[in-house]
Parts: sequence; structure tokens; C-alpha cells
Amino acid sequence: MDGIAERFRGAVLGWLVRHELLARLLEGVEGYMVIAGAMILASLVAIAFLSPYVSPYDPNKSVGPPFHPPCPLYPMGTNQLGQDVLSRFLWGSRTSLAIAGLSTALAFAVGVPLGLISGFVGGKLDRGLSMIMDAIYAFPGLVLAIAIATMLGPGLFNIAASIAVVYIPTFFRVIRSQTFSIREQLYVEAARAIGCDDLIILRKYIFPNVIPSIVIIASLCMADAVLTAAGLSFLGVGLSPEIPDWGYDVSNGQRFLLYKAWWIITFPGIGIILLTVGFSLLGEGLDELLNPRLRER
Amino acid sequence: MHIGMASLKAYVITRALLTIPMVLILLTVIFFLLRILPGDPIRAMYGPKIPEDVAREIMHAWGLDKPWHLQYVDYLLGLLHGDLGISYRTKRPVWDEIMTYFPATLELSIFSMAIAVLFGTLFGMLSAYRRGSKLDAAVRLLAISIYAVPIFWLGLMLQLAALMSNTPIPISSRISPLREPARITGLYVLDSILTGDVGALVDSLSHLALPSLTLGLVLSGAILRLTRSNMLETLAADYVLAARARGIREFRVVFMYAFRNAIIPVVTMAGMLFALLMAGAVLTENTFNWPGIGTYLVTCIANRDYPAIQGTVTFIAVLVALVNLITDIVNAVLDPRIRY
Repeated sequence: MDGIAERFRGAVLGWLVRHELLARLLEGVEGYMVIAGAMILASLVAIAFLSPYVSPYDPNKSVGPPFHPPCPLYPMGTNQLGQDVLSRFLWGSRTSLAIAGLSTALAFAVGVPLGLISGFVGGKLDRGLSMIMDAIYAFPGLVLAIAIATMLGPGLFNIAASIAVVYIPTFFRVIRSQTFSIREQLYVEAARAIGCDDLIILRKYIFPNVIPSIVIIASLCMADAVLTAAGLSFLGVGLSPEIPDWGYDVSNGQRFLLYKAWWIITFPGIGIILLTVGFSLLGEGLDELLNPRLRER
Repeated sequence: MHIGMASLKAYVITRALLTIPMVLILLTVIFFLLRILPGDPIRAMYGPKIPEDVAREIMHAWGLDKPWHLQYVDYLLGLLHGDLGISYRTKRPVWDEIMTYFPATLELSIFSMAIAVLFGTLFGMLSAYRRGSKLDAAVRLLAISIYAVPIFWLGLMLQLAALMSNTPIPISSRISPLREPARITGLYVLDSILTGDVGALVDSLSHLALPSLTLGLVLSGAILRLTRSNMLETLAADYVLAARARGIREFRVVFMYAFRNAIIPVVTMAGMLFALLMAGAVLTENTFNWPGIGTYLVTCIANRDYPAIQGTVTFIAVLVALVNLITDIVNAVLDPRIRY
């Protein structure tokens, strides 16, 4: 594992230097998108880590009167159980980040190797795998995730796994088509000429060249995964209520819509939006920076 | 020309045949997922305290005691006859159930799509035309933020806004109780027009307002971005320059030359948009208590109603496959380079 992490870092740094990305970061709109996305994400990650220390109350304890509107004592108000909405908001960032990260990591772990093998080997295996992946890709992801999540039952890992299924084809398709074209490059032929076996070619010649795309897809997948996870929680196929979660809090607030308790719904929703915007700004900014075709526009 | 038509025909046939494995793969995946993953339909429906022998009897009646591969063959044979099975929960044929709920989804989809196309193409076009302006920046920012807004949250915010401002706009269900028009197509708006029922028309349109605005706004983000980037390309094309050089009025150049060509690639994304629409509809329907196929699916899943879940998922899969098929054929007709 250590070796892979090392190579990953090396490849990313190599890209940064080769394409003068650090210089370009400050040039156009795309650079500011990346910086803004990174800053939003950094603050949310900081909140996630610090939530036990900065939360004013225990997110699962009744600490005040129910349905109290925002006031100095409860800056985001309280919900129907008298729980502090701000504390639940701060703790909720952990859940969303964990699910987004875990599901993308799972999709990566399955989609990337399959894409590499499919693109490298070609032939019948490639056609069969591509057909399965295309079928899953074309299907509405949320519907698939709902079906799997219900069957697996509640729990952080189960939710992450059912979301991961939706994004495996995303990784697979991009990595497969890139492997397909890299395979024809001269340096791969050279590697074969000096007697490298397929595994070494895949690991040392092809994999490092698809890493930049992986970073982009991972970032965009995490943006989408945050929304899918929130959708699952909203439909009641998410986590158990003791885990503070933005999607669950929104669906919980829906029941008290007629009380006009806007604060129960509004703040967790803003959390979801911020996290999604952070990931998509980062992903799209990087995409436009690394993709010369788009840069010309 | 003759050869071109022949290869188009070959393309259409090959493409249509490829739809079958796509649907088959999806329904196979769902079939086995439902059985591999934990979750017991009998205990989900009758509670965990049901006596063992009664449970076994029901298992037998539903054919759940057979080995999986036999259940699978039974299911496929039924499908060939257009039989989706009987719902465990309501004891009605799944096909009838789907046909009860689907018109609601269709009606919501049509209105949302209309809003999305109108909003998305208009602002996408303006944003590309005024590239780099404040309007462009605002529209691009809006497109990214719309994408990031959870659709159910947007729906709830609109419901809240209606409640807080005391606007008498309905925030739940399809129509007021006992207002339903006589059923012809199941689309309330169409049915009330056909039967001349003005009260039902106004009522169903007012119920449609918030859900279709919610779904339409979220979908418009994708259309907006596609239109904008295509329009940037066509505006820079030589034929636009040539048209301007000939002194054709700017309005005509933008609409008849640039916009018409920019919109073709958007049409070809219909398959992707349809998948987005379906996923969005599930959440929107549940937010607005809209009695469509998305609400139905969530109910069935909660009850582990295997035939109903399978039937609904198969139905959606066939719809998605058909829309993709039509999209690809339209694509091939528009662009002779696309052939197998």
C-alpha cells in the first residue's frame, strides 16, 4: 500500500510540474474554481474533525425546548426533540464526508482495476464487461442505490457500498477508454520490447498515466455521492437516527413543515449544498485545467 | 444514397437487438440482488412473529421455496407473456399497479421537462452569447449551484415559501379529493381538457406547479450547461461568421444559425437526461406526496414486495433502454458518421 501511495503522490506532483499547473492556477476562472473548492472542502473537513470540541451541545441529547427558533443560545434553533440543530449540523459533516469518501473509494477499488484490465486485454472480456457497465450506467443511479440499500439494511458501510455500485461504471468507462489509447503508445511497445510482463506494464506504464483522470472523477463522484446519500437518508433507507446526518435531519424536518420550523430543514440542506459545491468546483476546475480541448473555449 | 439507407437500416437493427441484453442484464442483476441480500418479504409484511409453518406455507404459495434458478426461469417465462407477477402486498397484478401510478409520473415528467428545456436553452444561449459578461458568470454559478441543491430540499423550500407567504398553492398530492376528472388517459390535465372539466384542470395544474418547478429547475442545470458549451462552439463557427458577413440580422444569425446547430447535441443527450429525470422524479414524488411510480417503488421496497420491485425496476429499465434506443437512432439519422 505504501508504494502505491508514494507513486500516486509522485504522479500528481509530476503532472503539476509538467503542466505548470501551479502557475496556471492563478490565471483564469478555472484556477479560482479549484482554489474555492479546495477552501470549502478544507473548512468542512476541519469542521468534521473539530466537531466534538466546537459543538455547543451533545447532538443526540435534548438540551432545550422543542421547536425553538434560532437565538443566541441555540444559533440554529432546536428540533422537535429539543436537540440543538447547530450541533447536529457540525456532527453531520462527518457522516457526509465519510460516506462520500468511502463509497468513492469502493467504486475506485472495483472500477479502476476492471477498467484497466478491460481496456488492456480487449476482446470478448472487454465487450462483455463494457456491456454490463453501460447497462448499469444508463440506469437511474438513485433507483439502483435505493434497491441495494434497502436490502442491505441501515449502517454506514452498507449505505456506502450501495452508493459505490452506482459509480463503478463511471470509473470503469473513463479508465477503460484511456487504457485503450495508452496501450497503443510507443513507450508501452518499448516496455514490451525490453521484456516487461503485462502486470508491470499495467502498474508502471499505464496506471500512472490515468491518475490525473482518477483525481477528477473521484472529486466529481464524491459530489454526486453526497447528493445520493442525502437522497437515501431522505427516503428513509439511510442510517439509524443516532448518527447525526444532514439528509435524515431534512426528512425529519419535513414532518414539521406545517409548524413553519424552517430552521430544522434549511441548515442541514445548506450543509449538503456546500459539500457538493466544494467537490464539484474542485473536480470541474481540475478537469478544465487538465483538459486542453475545453481550455480553448 | 441507397447504400447510406442500407447501412442506416443495419445500424437500427443492430442497435435495437443490443437493447435486449441491456434490459436482461439489469433485470438479472436486480433479481439476484433481491435474493442474495438479507431481507425477508414474509417477515417484512406480516411482522417477525409469524409462526414458522404459516411462513413456510406462504413461501410455497409464492414459489419462494424453489431454487433460485427455477424462480428465475419462471420469472423470465412470465415476462415473455407480459406477466410481471402478482404484488405480495396488494394481491393485484404488478402491471395494473404500474399502469395506475405511471400516468402521474408521466404528467410530472412532461411539465418538468418543458420547464427545464425552456429555462435551460434560453439561459444557456444568452450566457454563451454574452460570454464573459456578468450575466454569463451569474448563469454559470447558478448552473453549478442548481446541480448541488438536493432536489427534495429545493421542493421543501418551495413548500415552506408557499406556507410562510400564505399562498393558497397546494404543496402535496396530485389533485384535491373528489376532484378527479373521468379517467381516459390517467393524465389529469389531458383528461380534464378532454372532458371539459375546467375545475379539475385548474386544480390539477395548481397541484403540478411546485413539483414540476422543483424537478424542472434541477434538470435545467444539465441542459443549460450543454446548450452553453455547444452554443460557444457554433457561435465561433465559420458559417456564423459568413452569415454575419452577408449582413444577415444578428437575431436571425443567433437563432437560425448558431442556436439551431447548438441544440442538436442537446437532443442527443436525451438518454442521459431521461435517467436524471427518473431519479429526480423518485425524490420529487416522495417530497410532494405525488402518487407516481417513484412513491410506489419506495413503498414496495419498504415491504420487500419482490414482484412489485422487480416489475417496477424492469419497467424503468425498459423505458430507459427505449429512450436510449430512440436517441441513438435519431443520432444516426442526423449524423451519417455514426454506424456500426
